[in-house]
Amino acid sequence: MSAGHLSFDELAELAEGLLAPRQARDAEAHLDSCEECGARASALAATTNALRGLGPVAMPPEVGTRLDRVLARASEAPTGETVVPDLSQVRQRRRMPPPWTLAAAAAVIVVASVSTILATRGGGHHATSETAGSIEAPLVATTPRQPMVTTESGRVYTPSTLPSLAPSLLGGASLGQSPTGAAGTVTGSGGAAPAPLQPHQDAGVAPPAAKAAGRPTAQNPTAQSPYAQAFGPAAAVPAPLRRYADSQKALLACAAFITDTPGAAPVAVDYARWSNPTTHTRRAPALILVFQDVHATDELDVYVVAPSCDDRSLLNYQVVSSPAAATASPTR
Amino acid sequence: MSDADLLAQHLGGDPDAFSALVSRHRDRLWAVALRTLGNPDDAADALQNAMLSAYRGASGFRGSSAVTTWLHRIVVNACLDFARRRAVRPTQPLLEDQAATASDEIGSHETALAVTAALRLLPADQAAAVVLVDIEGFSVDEAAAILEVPSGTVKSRCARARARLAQELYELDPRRASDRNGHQGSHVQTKADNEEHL
Repeated sequence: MSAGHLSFDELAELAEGLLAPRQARDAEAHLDSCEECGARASALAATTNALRGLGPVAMPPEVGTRLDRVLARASEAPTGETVVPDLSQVRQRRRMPPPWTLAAAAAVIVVASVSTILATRGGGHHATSETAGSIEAPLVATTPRQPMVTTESGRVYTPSTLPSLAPSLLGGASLGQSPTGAAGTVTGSGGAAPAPLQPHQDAGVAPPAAKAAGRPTAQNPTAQSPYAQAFGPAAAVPAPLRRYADSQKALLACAAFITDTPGAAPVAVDYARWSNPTTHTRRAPALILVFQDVHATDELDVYVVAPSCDDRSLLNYQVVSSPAAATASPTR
Repeated sequence: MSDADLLAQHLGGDPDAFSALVSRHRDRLWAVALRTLGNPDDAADALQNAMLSAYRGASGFRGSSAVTTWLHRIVVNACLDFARRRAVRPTQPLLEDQAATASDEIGSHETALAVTAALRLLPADQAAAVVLVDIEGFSVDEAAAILEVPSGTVKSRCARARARLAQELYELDPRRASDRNGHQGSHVQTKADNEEHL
């Protein structure tokens, strides 16, 4: 500010209503009588108007190309495994577990030592709540047979979305999926996990009256998959998967073959599609089979299986965190 | 198909949905990054970081705002992060002559160019405030939410930014400075000199 004139800062604050009432009155009085300050005020107004008139700027082609490339890489980029897994290795891994009893015992030991650590840190309150949560996990895992949650989403899974979407098949049990298979209800599946599909509903993309995707199941004709609730009607079950959706026997035979474990039953199945840019796979019909991991109580084994379900059908395999693990995680 | 639909498809595993969403808004987001950072190289880097984190963090979108607002938040914050790490504002002229699509109903094309060039002189947090409020048309409250600062802070940053820009334009005005011809080249040079006094 010079020669008693209003500075541009003062003029801009006046325009934005930031000056104290008395300052504002003084400034306005000065403006009325000062040609120089009037000219400055005009320049300020012209500047603000010019800013408001600025439109978008065309992104330079090379920047756009680079951005496209980075995003394309991100869609391949692995949070899990992106290569086609070797079925025999996956089976091998499954055959080398500690027996359930040992796993449960180990979990108890971990729980015990964690509570000791927390207690000696003086975190008595925390120790109580965290161990209380973690004890539940082995109980879930040792339940002889969990009910199988069936979803017919028809949606497309990728290597990067599989780790979050597959557990949500279980986490969404309370959202109205249909328990099928073994006797019992899904209430035994341990702790209402935060369902990853929930944010989609928050995002306001769900048509209010979304209808169930796929066919109604025999057990619960009005069951809606979480996918249907979140996104509205989904693509139909891909035709090559129809025979598994129609026959639980066929499905369990496939599950037993893929895991090389007679009687192995998945805890969740989705009739869906698979895309993997690395292998140039696009929207291929695929069974998503989710098993309780045999090594860790808080993990799930997720198999992506092509419809033929033979020894070349394993499209992807990932070990992911179980939604029930949310309460047990402090022990890990 | 709405932006929210595309985002949902991305979360549902469609490998092309996110790119489609980005390409819808790329020019607008590019303008935000360019004008906040004042330099095409930095803007490209910041925008790339922003889009990657949006890609990975899409499940964090809660739908309480428009998808574009969410994208702006990520881009602006990536730019401000970038600016904080960057020691000095760059001095290369902003190559916007092919791009300044000013609507001529209010200011002249030349004013738009001069304002665009002068934006480079602002600290990034001030530039972000006027970019959001004046250029992108967000309300002060929306801009405050995007920038995660109080509304009063947005107002004062906008005021300071407009004051600085107005001063630059005022001093450049050929009617006021007979010894200058208002030529764009000398104009930029003057700005670069002034920058040391920021």
